[in-house]
Amino acid sequence: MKTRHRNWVSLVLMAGLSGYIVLGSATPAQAMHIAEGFLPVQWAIFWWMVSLPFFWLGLRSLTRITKQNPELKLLLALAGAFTFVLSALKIPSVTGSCSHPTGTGLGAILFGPAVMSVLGGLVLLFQAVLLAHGGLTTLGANLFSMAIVGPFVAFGIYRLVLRTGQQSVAIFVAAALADLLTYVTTSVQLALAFPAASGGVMGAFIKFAGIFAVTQVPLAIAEGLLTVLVWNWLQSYGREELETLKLLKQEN
Amino acid sequence: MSSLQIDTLAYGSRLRQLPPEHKLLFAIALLLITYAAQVPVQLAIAGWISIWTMVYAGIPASVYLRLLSITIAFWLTSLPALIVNGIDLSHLSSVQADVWQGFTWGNYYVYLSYRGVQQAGELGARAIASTACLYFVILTVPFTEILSVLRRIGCPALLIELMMMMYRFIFVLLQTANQLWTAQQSRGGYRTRKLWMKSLGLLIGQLLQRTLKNYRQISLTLNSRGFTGDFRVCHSRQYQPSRRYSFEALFGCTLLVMLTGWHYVVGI
Repeated sequence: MKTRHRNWVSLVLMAGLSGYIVLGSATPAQAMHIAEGFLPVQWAIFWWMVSLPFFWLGLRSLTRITKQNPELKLLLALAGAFTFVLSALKIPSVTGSCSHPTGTGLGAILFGPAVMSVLGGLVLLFQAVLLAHGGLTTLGANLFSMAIVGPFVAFGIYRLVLRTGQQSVAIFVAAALADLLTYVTTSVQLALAFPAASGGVMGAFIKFAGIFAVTQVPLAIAEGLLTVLVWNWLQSYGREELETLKLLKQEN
Repeated sequence: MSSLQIDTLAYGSRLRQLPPEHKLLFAIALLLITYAAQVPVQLAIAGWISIWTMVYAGIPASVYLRLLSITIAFWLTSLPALIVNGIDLSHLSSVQADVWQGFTWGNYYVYLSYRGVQQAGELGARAIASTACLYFVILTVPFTEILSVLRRIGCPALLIELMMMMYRFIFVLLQTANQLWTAQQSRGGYRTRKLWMKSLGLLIGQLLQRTLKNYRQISLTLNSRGFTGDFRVCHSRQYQPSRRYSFEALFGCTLLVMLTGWHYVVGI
């Protein structure tokens, strides 16, 4: 009886695991959006509270800029749409499936981090509404990881490494680290919401981070390389465009 | 990629003539109940709102289920983190009550935890129910109508304007990206992984250039027409509230609230 029971359990486990692998690899790896309804009420509200001040500050500075120069509204909207389209493109990933770039690194370098906290929020809203990625209750948490941590880290590191004079390196490190930190932040958010029975938050973090590392680490490297390619192209053929974008950053 | 399917479906849904406020209120009410309720009520909500989306609004089941699979995939990805636990062999006795199945691996004991399984079940029910509520909104209310509701409840003007223009430009840029993609593919782009990255880098750079060209053209157009800093659009759509749907929504919500309350009282 005992062995029979054991056989049953291992059979169910095997079926579960293979089903998991088949289903998991069939859907393309999404960027790290926490899905709707994933966070318990208190955490959903908490992350909204954390993110809203950043969003509000960004919005206030944008209101000031656009009062002086109403045309910049257009530029902002186009920058937002550009970031959205960027996140809908596919980049090949090591596991054979495709993933989507987050575009936070490039966005932060091109448009500045304060602008990105507002644009990133809007992009996340559009992703929830038009692509069904992420959700509304978890928008606060996603806003924090993708529109606040990612861009600010990218911009800070970009500035820091730029001092050494290696621009390509700066771009690569900024974009890749922005991606990595976005995913680490998401893992922290999930771990805080679902601490492990043994090991608590830290144990849960290691588990979540370990699982997502499989798709996110190669993605971060790929996005870093991609951003360097884009930047080199813009440097040689898009000088004029980069000058236009300075409008957004100067008056910030 | 050039057209966003969800958006197209929202414009063509059979519940289009209902006032958007009604649909939004209904979904928000259900979302709130979902967050307050227990698993059985959450599953009931998921089933009921799926009927609204698939039967009343006429959204194809294949599309709807494919969208739901995004959330389910995310849930499956985090499943191991929720239910698999590892602990040092010496501490095994402290978690004995929580062990469902397990085996020894080196110095560690790896096991499936009861609490984890329970947590994963509750999480799954809540995620599916609230995702279904969100999908009801995005599949039956076109984005422009959400915007007009937001404008009426006093959302900052700049935010509304940005969203309105972003919504327009997203389609323009998606089309541009699509054309670039096709052109590159017809010339042998994206064949190998290395080429893929190169092609994509070119595409993004070109896209940014065209985005800014667009910006200059539109700002010229606006200036030539006396742009003063505000974007105003006219909205003239008539909605017809439906008694039958309002009744079902109200009745169902009341029932669900009562069930949730009853769960709390009985303490299940």
